Amino acid sequence: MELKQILEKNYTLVEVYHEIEKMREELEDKAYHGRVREETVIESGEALESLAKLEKRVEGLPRLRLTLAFKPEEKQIAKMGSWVREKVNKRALLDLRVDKNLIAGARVVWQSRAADFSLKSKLTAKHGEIKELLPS
Amino acid sequence: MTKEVGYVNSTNRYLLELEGLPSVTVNSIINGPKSQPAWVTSLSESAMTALQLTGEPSKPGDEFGLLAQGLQVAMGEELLGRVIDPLGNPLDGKASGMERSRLEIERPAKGIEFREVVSEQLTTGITIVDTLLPVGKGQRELVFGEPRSGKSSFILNVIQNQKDTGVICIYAALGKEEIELRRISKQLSELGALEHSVVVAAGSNLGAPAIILTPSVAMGIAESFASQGKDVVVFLDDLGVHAKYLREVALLSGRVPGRESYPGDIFYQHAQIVERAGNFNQKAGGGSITLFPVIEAHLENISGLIPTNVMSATDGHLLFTTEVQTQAGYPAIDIEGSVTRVGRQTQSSLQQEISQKVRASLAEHADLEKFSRFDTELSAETKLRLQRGELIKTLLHQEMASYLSPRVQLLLMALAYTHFIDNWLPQRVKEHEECLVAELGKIAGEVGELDEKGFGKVKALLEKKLSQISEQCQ
Repeated sequence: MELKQILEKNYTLVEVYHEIEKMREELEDKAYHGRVREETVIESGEALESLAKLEKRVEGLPRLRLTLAFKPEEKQIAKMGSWVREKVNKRALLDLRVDKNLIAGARVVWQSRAADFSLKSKLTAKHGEIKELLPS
Repeated sequence: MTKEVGYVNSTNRYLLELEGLPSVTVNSIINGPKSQPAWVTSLSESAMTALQLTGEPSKPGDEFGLLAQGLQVAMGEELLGRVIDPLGNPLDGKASGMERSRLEIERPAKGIEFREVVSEQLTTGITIVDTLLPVGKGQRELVFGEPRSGKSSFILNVIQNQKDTGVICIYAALGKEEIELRRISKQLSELGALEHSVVVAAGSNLGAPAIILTPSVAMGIAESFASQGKDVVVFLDDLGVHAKYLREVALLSGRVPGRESYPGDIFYQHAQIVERAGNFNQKAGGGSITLFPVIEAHLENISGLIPTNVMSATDGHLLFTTEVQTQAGYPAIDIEGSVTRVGRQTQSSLQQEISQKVRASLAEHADLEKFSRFDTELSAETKLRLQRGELIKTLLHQEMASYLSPRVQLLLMALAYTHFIDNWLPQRVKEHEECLVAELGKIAGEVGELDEKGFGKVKALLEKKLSQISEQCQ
């Protein structure tokens, strides 16, 4: 399968790696558990090599690290993924992470720059003011 | 607001390989998820290497941010009397609220336009040094010695003798055991020497990166005092250990090892520290940094890579040997094996004259001593010369933690050229050492300006007082 096809179906880094892993298992099954013929071994070897190249290309894709306070559903992931491909970079992959300490909102890292839009960061920034408002 | 971040790709103990942080430079400080500081040491197109200075070990995937304020260390007067680690954290249990400012790692040494000729002597209060091997303010003098030859006692003695002189002492302990660090700080405190000193202690428990950083921190603190016009003395104890930790880090980083497996830039690493010392002019604040790097090694390793490197970067060395210690006691400085390059120009003409005489007498004594072993029939003149040499050696002996003023030192040395030699055998001198020093202290006021009086006049003054000295020191 071509990289383009993989990216069409998958938006997150985990999904892409999962897809590649599935392809590798299929190839290994074909090579070692099928009827062993010389042609099959050569074919599988070549396919595995091109799979390794594909993996390298995935490593070089731009990643948008998105940390959320909850685990998003598939539909939400697809919506966010397509938005990122449309607005940020058409080959970008989502590197999704969950950190409940954020409380709400999100933390985004793109090209080594991080922006924190989480409730935790807002509360931390206003820590002094909140402390003053609270009864001692 | 966005901030730069980078992610750890791989770790090997304290060595981190990261990607990201596009505006990072070599010597930047970056901060991990649990506030673990790391020091960026090299950059490539896509990755960087950093040394984690302290804290919980990092793991691949950890996020690091750039610490814009860099390494923050207290610099001012409030640092006096304190024991801190190389990251500026207090280790003495006292208040930690010191005002900190940014410390530049590997700051380039001040250029020639900020320097002045070394012209003032650093009085150590130790006769061998002040009279025979003088050290000027701004000089770099290596302290090279065998284990247990009295180097630490010498250092503590010099620090103690700077009390009330306005000179600030910075003692950097590198890779020493916790118990040793405690002993040194306790001794300094008991001697009353901590009030004008700062101890930068990097114990062996801190790990290689923090130990490597320590000389830079000590020199940074010294520079901040020197820029305020203060005279500072720095002890780096010791650079041999520093080199070993540099070697550990270089080998772990996969750098090509050079001679004795040290990294190829080991000379630069030490020379750039040593070069930061000197005597500065008013453009740079007018202070001075006198540096005593210490190297502990056995005598047969004196021609090793690290000692010879540091020797070539300094203005001389004091050689401490166990042999001298066994024969003459404290301070165990081998006069013949020691060198001072710029110190003599700081001495007064009288000091220079006496120093020259004493060195000539000692050299003569060494020659005659060998010769006298084969011949029992010695002329009176030869016997006198031998006796003088012995007497000088005895007079050069000093009690640990003692202070002799430059005038007393001169009178003590001049005694060997008076009729004192007829009645005072070395044994008698040893027995009445304290009394002799006290009596010479009384006479010292009558010597006048050191430059005005020639040796002849000092000798005449002593001859006049000999009976008084003998009477008092029965």
